[in-house]
Amino acid sequence: MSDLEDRLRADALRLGEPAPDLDRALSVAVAAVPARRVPWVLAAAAVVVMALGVAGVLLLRPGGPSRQAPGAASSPASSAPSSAPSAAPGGLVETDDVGFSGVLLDAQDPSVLHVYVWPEQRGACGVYHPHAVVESQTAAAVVIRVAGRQELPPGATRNDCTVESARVSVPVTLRAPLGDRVVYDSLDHHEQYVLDPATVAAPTYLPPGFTGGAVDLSLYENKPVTRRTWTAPRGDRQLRLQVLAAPRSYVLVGPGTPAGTVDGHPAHLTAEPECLWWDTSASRAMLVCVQLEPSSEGAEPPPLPTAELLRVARSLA
Amino acid sequence: VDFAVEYPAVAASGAERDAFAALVAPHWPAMARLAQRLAPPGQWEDVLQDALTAAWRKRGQYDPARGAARSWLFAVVDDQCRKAYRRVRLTTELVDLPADDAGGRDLDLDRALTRLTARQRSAVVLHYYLDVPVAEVATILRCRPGTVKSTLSDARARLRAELEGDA
Repeated sequence: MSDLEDRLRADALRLGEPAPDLDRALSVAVAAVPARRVPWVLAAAAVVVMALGVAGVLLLRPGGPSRQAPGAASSPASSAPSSAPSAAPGGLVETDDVGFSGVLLDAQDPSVLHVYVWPEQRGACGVYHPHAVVESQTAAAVVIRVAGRQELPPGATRNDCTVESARVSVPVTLRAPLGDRVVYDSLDHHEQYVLDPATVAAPTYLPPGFTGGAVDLSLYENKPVTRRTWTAPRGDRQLRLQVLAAPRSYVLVGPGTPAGTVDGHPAHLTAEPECLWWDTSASRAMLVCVQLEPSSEGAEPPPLPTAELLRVARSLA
Repeated sequence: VDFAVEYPAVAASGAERDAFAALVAPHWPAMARLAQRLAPPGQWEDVLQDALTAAWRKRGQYDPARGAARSWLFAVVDDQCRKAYRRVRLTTELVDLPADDAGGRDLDLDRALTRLTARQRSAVVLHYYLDVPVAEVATILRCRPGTVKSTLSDARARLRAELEGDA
């Protein structure tokens, strides 16, 4: 180690005033941010409205860039301004390789992968369109790169504000089914988790009116969280029913109210959203959750009787 | 991702604040040290508070799959420090520390650190002052490890030049 490095580390040892009281600082933080709890359908609607607004602006702009469906594989060269983000406020800018966090095999076409992307969080506000490109595909491995285009509000640069966005998936098509090949992220060449939807548990019983069953992938503590989601109309709102398989630590509070057993394991019930959960092993748990959306401010009765949740849980294959 | 979807049990019980506090608490002292080193002089407490507020606001965006909580929190602090610098448009005079602010610190080194670019300073403070491994610095600064190494190399060269100039 050089003298300079020694000097830096020695200075580090002398550094430091005590940190402020976290509880007090957190009270200030919570007070400064209005309660959010926006139902996801409203958040999604807001994103759609924003996207439509930006699309309208682009269509009205003479010589504006041609639009492409979000998530569609595309050539970065096909979009307009490629100037440095900070040099040209507003408009459409390319972003670097942002990496991804898991892959879901398409249920119908084993050559299609749905790449789960967490868009750059330190970019600007606006609409973010990631796209995935297969960088290489051999008999043993597939390397995927995810980049994107960011539509900025007029006058904004990527450093102005933070993207408030959700995880999204973008499709990419291989020359042949993935098979046993390993998927790597071009950002860091780390192997990425691949989920086959056929392996995600599905109940044989659902309450009347529910349709769907799409599989979704998330990660928690770098371990997969798999979800199947169904919806059913309930007046002018909808019920959303989810079956999740997740790491045991995903269930952060508990134990909730004892609610019978599932497959010999004690089950517990939480409220708002109403979730029935039970351990499937020392490290994994299952949850069956139901939510009425949009949620209301006032207290409401549980959207489904506990007996119905138990019946769904016990019917899981 | 809506927090209530990702962490249904937490949102359900109203324990969101407690869960967030548990996430932050192990890293809070280090976040304070990072702010002390990277924020404009005299502003570290305000910047740290801004960082905590930003982290609370963006808590639904925290994705364990993309890095540890520490990396995410450090990135938020780093971001707020840069924003603070942009706000004040700091001058050299403001950066220079008065002699009576020494407190045992290496003032020549302090002064030399202010000559680095924001990115170089972030890399140096994270790696040398907070002992963050290069790979994690890369996660925090959103670049590749090789880029961090070259940034640190450039920073060391500039620090040596500045310190020799001071000598």
